[in-house]
Amino acid sequence: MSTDTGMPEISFSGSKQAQEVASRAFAIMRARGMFMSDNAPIRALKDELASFLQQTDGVTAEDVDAAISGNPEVFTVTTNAEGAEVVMTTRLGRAPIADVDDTTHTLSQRLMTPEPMPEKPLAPVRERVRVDPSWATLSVSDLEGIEDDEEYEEEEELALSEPLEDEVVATPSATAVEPAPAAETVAEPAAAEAEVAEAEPVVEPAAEVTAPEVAAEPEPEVVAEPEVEEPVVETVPVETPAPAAAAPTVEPTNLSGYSDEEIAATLETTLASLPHVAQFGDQWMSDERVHRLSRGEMRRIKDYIEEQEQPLTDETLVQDILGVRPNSPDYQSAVFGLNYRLSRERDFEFVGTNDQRFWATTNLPPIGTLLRKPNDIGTDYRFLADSGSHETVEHRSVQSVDHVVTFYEYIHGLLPYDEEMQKLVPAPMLEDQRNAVFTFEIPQTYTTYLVELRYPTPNRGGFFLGLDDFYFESLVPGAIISISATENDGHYKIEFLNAGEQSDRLLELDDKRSPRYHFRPTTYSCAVDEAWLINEDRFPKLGSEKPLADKVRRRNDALLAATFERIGMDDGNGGLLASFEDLLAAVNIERPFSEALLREVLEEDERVSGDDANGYTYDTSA
Amino acid sequence: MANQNESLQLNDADIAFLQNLLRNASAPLTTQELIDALRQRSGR
Repeated sequence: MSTDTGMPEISFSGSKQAQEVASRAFAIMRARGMFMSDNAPIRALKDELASFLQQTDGVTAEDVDAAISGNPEVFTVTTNAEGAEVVMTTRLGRAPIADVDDTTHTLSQRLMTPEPMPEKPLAPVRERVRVDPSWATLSVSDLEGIEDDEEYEEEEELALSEPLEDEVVATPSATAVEPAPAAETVAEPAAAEAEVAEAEPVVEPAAEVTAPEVAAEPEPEVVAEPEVEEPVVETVPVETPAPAAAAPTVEPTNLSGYSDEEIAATLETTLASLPHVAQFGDQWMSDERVHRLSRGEMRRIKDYIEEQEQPLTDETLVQDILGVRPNSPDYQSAVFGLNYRLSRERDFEFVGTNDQRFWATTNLPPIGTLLRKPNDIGTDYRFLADSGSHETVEHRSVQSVDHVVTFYEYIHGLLPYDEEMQKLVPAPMLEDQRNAVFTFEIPQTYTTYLVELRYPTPNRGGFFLGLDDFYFESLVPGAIISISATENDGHYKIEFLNAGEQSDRLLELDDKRSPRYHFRPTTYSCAVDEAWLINEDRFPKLGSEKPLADKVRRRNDALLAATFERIGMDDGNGGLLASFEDLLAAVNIERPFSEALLREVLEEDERVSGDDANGYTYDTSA
Repeated sequence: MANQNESLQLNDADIAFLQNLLRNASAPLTTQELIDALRQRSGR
């Protein structure tokens, strides 16, 4: 036998009999819901309950009805779908509450229904950081002219219009009212009235000082009253953006009538004068975005170049020293940063071109011949500087140049920086650039040489050096070569014609102890220009000659006299006869000498007579 | 059509535009790219 010890104490209403019937009915229904939760409704048909009580306790249906209806706190009577009355209670003896779903606030509703836009910003608008006017390069009115800068305009709108409207009307503090919006309000009374009317509900609870006046008198003068303005002017920055907003926008300059070169020249001068703009070559970047190099990185770059004993390109340095890969998004910025930073260092020298940017240090061994100092070679080429062609020539205007290698060029590994070569290669990339390093590829020998170009100075001509190995291995003096440009303005190709094996006794300079010319049997296979070939048959007297002393070879007339003596034939009248072609080839043994210069010297020298057809005679008796 | 003898002067708005262009560029810009941007803006 089980005993229900959880029976609540319930006081039933009504007569004693009704209380007993109600108690009995509750006990029956509670037994029915023995395993139900305390608040779950226990249901029983009223007729069945009355019938059961009638059988067990001998009460009538009316007694049951009265007992149930007399205790509404305990029983609830409803009608089911079939129309029968149902008595309900709970195990705690409380009439069950109707189970109605509360749908006023559900999770799904919260997730799916966005919150309405707040009427006011949740946080106050962030104050814009302003540069002190003394540091500013442009006034605010200048910046207002940027029509294309949508981001800037949006920021301006946010910073100017919204906070000011709020502040002017709603906030009575000192920062609220500025003279600028007041002036704007005076200028446009209708707009001001609308603004004030809109802001009215906000004003009333907030502003006790200004609000009553503003709300009651929507005339604009009220806002501009001096007692409201005075504290404001002291705290608000002097440079208020509001007048700038009203300032007329500056139209972009019409560039339709100007060429790219003119605009580029103007850009150069304009941007170069601006602070925080970094330039290297024809590239520009904002200073703040330029990749920075540490002192350690600078030192490693310098050491690396000196280890390699040759100039290295910016891309090599960025990849090998800075570790930035070409597929990195920062690669271009890093390359520009390296070029820009190194250009400002004294230990580094830019020796590249626009497409191939070589960097050298001051300690690098020189490129090219050691037989003669570069400055002396430049002096030998002075006639090229005197022509002034490098100042007017159009660089990179030809695709290839044919050239015959003279004896002087051959033994020193040189090429002249004459007008033809100036048209082939680019102008110096930087204004103060003194030399540039190119790569010259020889496809026929599968070799590439670093060739240095010494740009002309006022008293020295320009020339390329560094081809001596190529010349000695593949060519002879008088060889015809073709130098052609590639898409890379720092890379060129040299080709020569193969003409089958030939043997000849060609002039050489033996510089072991005391330099001396001599003819040596030579086998070569490159095509040569016979006019420039220096062989024993043509100039037999040259063998065992010593190179001329500098004081002789540097003077045109002395060099011409020495050349006549070396190659001239006795004409029987005390004169030495030589053809122009021979003179040109022989004079170029000692020093570079152009055809025009030789003609000029022949004309000026009073001891020389003759012409191209009959040859030139040098009067040795004069 | 501008006078060919008249030297080109960029106004403050052009300079501000160029500065903004450079500030927003993640890679260096060439002079030609700046010229193209100026022309595009001028023609708009």
